[in-house]
Amino acid sequence: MKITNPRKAGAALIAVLMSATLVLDAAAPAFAGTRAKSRSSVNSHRGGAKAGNRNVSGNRNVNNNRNQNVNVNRNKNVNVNSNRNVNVNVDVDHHGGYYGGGYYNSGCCYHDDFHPVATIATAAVTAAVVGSIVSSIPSSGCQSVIVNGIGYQQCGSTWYQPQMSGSTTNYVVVNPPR
Amino acid sequence: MRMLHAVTCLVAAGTSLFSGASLLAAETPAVDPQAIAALEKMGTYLRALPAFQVEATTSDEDVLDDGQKLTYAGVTKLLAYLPGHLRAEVVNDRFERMYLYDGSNFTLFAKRANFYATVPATGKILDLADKLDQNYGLSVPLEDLFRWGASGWTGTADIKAAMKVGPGVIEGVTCEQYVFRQDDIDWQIWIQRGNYPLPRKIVITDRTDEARPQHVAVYKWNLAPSFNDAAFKFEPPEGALPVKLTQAPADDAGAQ
Repeated sequence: MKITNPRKAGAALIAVLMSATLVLDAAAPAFAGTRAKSRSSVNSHRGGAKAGNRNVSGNRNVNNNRNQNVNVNRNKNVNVNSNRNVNVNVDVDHHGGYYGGGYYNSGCCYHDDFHPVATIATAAVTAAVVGSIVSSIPSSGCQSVIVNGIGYQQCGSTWYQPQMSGSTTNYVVVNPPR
Repeated sequence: MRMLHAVTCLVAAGTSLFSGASLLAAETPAVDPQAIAALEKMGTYLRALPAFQVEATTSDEDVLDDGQKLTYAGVTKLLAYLPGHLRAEVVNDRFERMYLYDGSNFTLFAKRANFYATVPATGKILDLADKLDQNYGLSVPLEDLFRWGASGWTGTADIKAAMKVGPGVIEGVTCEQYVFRQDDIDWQIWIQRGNYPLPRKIVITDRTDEARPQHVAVYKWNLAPSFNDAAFKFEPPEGALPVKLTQAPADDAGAQ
């Protein structure tokens, strides 16, 4: 595969690493994990620092653990993006007719929803184990199947059950439902 | 001579007042009853609205492990028909979601992925908010607009400090600015002056992380929206996959 965009190259490396369940941080670009998020409500507890980050200044172990944490988070971020890639073709839906379209972004930059990662995802498939949760599926060779009202993505002999979890989407590798 | 004495007294009184005030400010943060009253008035007003449409232009921040902050922008468009109908569309640089609630079913639709999940739910929008929070770790967009002034709302009890700042103009609307401090957050709100005390802007600063990630939302209101029942019902677009809604990890921001 020919990759000219350095960010794509980085993403490819990460996904390959992840597919082999490695947690290495070799030639990783300078993206770190997220330790806190802004809160959007004054009446709710969501957001803020992740547990464990609140006492960073008093904890000598923080530095020792840092490389590993950074790496795990990074993998997750990148793969969330590639997950959405797979389904780019839906951006035009404006069902219900209540709101007009026109403002949907096309993605860019840090969280680019739209760069293709076909080769990466294929690497992930070969490592798919039933019960495992992955953030992406191959961008080609898959079809959507609904069995008993539940949606699946079938990619060759591997079946994925997509799910929504908070603000992310991911896939559980499942046994063939039929 | 008598006059001079009076002046001295005044000066002395003024000095003691001043030192008293600064002592108070240093030791116990004052909760200005005016600020609390303004919040309650806004809540009462919000709860009297039968329907509203609001567009929030938002800015949020993530703090990376090394303390660097990333800002991302978004727009939330929400239509509420009280008590139990909601349609909200959240579009930001991270994700794109639609929330639909018609009083009997709730659907979350991930537009880019073309996934949707439907779960049965009944009751008011706040009942839905509680259910989504408990069962799925998910927040209803612009949740505060439904919490303020609701029966059983105890938000003012969380406020440790409150102050009226003064007038401020948000998108051409004259507002009154207030600042509040709670255990984990500081927040500022701009409430429209006059007979329509709507929140026009909010800034929430999280104090649990030293980088202090901030959420900003500027609201545009339409208090006479036109809609029909179809606005709250989900019709899956072609190819959309029905999926499961699962409990979010504890550190998820809940699709804010």
